[in-house]
Amino acid sequence: MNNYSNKELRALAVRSARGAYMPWGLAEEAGASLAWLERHGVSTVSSYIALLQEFDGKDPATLGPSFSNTQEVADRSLPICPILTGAYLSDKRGGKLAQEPLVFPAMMMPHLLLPFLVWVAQDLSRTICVKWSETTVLVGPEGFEIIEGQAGLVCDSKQSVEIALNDGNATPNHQYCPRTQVSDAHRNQLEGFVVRTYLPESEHSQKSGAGGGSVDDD
Amino acid sequence: MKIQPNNTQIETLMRPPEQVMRLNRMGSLHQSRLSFMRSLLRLMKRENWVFSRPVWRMNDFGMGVAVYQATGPARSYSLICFSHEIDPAKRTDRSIATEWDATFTMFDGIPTDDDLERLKLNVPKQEAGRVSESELSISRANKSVRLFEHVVERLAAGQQPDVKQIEDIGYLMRTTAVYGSGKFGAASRDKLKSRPEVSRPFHMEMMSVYLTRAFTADLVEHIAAKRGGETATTIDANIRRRLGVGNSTGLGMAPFLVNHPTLTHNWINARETALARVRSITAAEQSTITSFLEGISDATESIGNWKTTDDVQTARIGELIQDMGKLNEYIGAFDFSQSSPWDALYRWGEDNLELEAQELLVSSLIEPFGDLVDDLLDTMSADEEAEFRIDGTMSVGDFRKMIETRYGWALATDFQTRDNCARFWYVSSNKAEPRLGERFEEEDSEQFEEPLDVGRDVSNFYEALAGKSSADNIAEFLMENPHYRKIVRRLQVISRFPYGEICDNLISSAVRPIDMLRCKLSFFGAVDFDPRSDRWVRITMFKNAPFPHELDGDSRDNWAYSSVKVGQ
Repeated sequence: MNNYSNKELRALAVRSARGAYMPWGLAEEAGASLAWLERHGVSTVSSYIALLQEFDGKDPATLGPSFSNTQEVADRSLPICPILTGAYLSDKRGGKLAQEPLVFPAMMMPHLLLPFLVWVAQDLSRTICVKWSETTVLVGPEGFEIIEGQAGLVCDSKQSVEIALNDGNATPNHQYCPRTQVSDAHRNQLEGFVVRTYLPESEHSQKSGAGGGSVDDD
Repeated sequence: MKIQPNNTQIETLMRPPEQVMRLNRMGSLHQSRLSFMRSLLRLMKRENWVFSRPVWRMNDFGMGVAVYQATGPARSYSLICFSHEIDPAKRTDRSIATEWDATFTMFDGIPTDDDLERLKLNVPKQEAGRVSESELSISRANKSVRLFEHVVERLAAGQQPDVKQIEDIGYLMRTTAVYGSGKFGAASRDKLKSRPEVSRPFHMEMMSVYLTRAFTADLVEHIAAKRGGETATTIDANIRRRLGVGNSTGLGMAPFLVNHPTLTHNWINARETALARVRSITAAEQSTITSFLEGISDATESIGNWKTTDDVQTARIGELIQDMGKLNEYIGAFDFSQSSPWDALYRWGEDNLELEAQELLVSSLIEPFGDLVDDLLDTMSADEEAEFRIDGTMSVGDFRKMIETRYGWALATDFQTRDNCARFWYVSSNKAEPRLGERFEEEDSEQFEEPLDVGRDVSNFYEALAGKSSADNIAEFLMENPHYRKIVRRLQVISRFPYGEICDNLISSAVRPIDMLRCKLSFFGAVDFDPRSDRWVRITMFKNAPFPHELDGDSRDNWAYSSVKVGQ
């Protein structure tokens, strides 16, 4: 097993997302989502890898929700990416949310939305209710509270997701976890994406880089 | 009496980012009283830190383990040093090295023997090892073979080393990497944020280097004592002071300033605010005039000893020496009784000196005014997380306006021209380090290019906004064009932290990455910049600084350019 600080895990997550062809900015948001969840005690590395595999190489512009009207999201052949959706909702600073639920017909790994919704809850000083399958989560400015489906927060499949403002209060009870254990298998999978982002160093670069072009004899 | 800054005037005296954040000026910065080495020693001296060496298990040839402990009012930190025998053929500063003369880690607290055993298996491997939440940095160093052996030989024979050789080289060992904050399993910076003694940028890493310097001097004396027996002596305290720690820094450091715009802004903003505050002073006191003149005198002497083999830097040092002559002549006849004398001096410098001397003058002007500027040290950290989110409610029109106002230099650059996009930044598969490639000579240059081509990205984004309604908010645009998220986030950060942007094209054929290295290293407090190509540089750290056992009795704060005699 490999023990990572949250910062190191986030850096690994960002670069692996980039290796899965997410654009840099979105890869940063993906890494932030994973790091936030791990820091709050939600083991997400496995589903994060599944997300990268699902969307590997796909055009990110085709992975977000398209709205057929204000609150309804059009169904489509490709599942919706939770990172792109979360980033959009965060960008809007709550502008899209209302008491009437936003319904996303087929979203992958919806738990990866939660960090973005915490930020939106902070913007609005409101609670947001998120539902998928058997799971209901209340998200507030301080974090989230699982209301239903204790075993099912981490979700590796495609789900219909509803998001709406809520008048209740979330009482977060997650623990602060500064470190994450990553199995060798998971590390290798993440590294597999990461190495795609590396290029072989040219001879010119080797000669002109640190220590190059001279004998280190002073 | 404490001088109070005049805030209204200061705002008008701040140099604009378009003047300061140019590579040629950034590559001319010098250490100052705001540099981290100096602020660390000032803090440790003020708080009466206690230093000890509880572990020294070295064989006759200086191979083994040592622990240096630094204890402040709240807690202790320990530098654990492993000294190794390596094949000389494997001694290289290049990042692909796998063995070093010495490897180090900063430990949070006081290590047990079990900790030492655990770390002995990992720290010598550096990137290939894993450490834990108890470790705060990892580093390694190679001997300066020529100087190290010379000093051992001389001391073993009961003689002092040749001062000229010490001045020429400057260090017994040079670090080739100092990794902090969450690398290879080590604790992340979050752990240190609430600790005042190490919450300022790079204080932990600087503490590591400071104790490393003590280790190198102790090690050379230990080996000489074992070799020379009763004949051997130790290094004269005045000569010892001249020893710093060397450092080889390459492209691994270059992207830092681009990737941390908030932090970069806060560093530069602190320095610029300090300068503006000093320029706003209406009348000069005699004590500050004396201190300023002493500083200029020390700097002038120190520059005379600055050695480099780099042609460009040699020419710049030549100009600097000439300029210091002009400056000394000018201040010899300068009327310090005039109104706003420091501002007048700065303005004269801007009109009459080259960039190297202008920036040395800036550092010198700040120097006498600790009471006025040292509070700025507490503004030099950054909460980057607070700036992470994109505000998608900002309008397309606001982005257009901001780009036209702040990024004229990027809009004026034709990135279709070969010279303007000749280079590309990438991460090498050899050691996962940033590198600068030739776009038109190397394969696969586009697909995983590192996002350091800020000017080109801004220009492309500006073009992509063409035809969009100015009233539209950017969130919808980003949903359709997620590949612009990076540059949109950056633009919003820069709108609040304008010194965070380098106003030059970083993929141009003319780019000199060492300008970025020099800027960052000057904030560390480095001296003796010795470029070895346009992309790596050797420097010296803590040269002339009091050693840990001397810190308490040394009253001089401005040690960077001063080879003052110990005991005087």
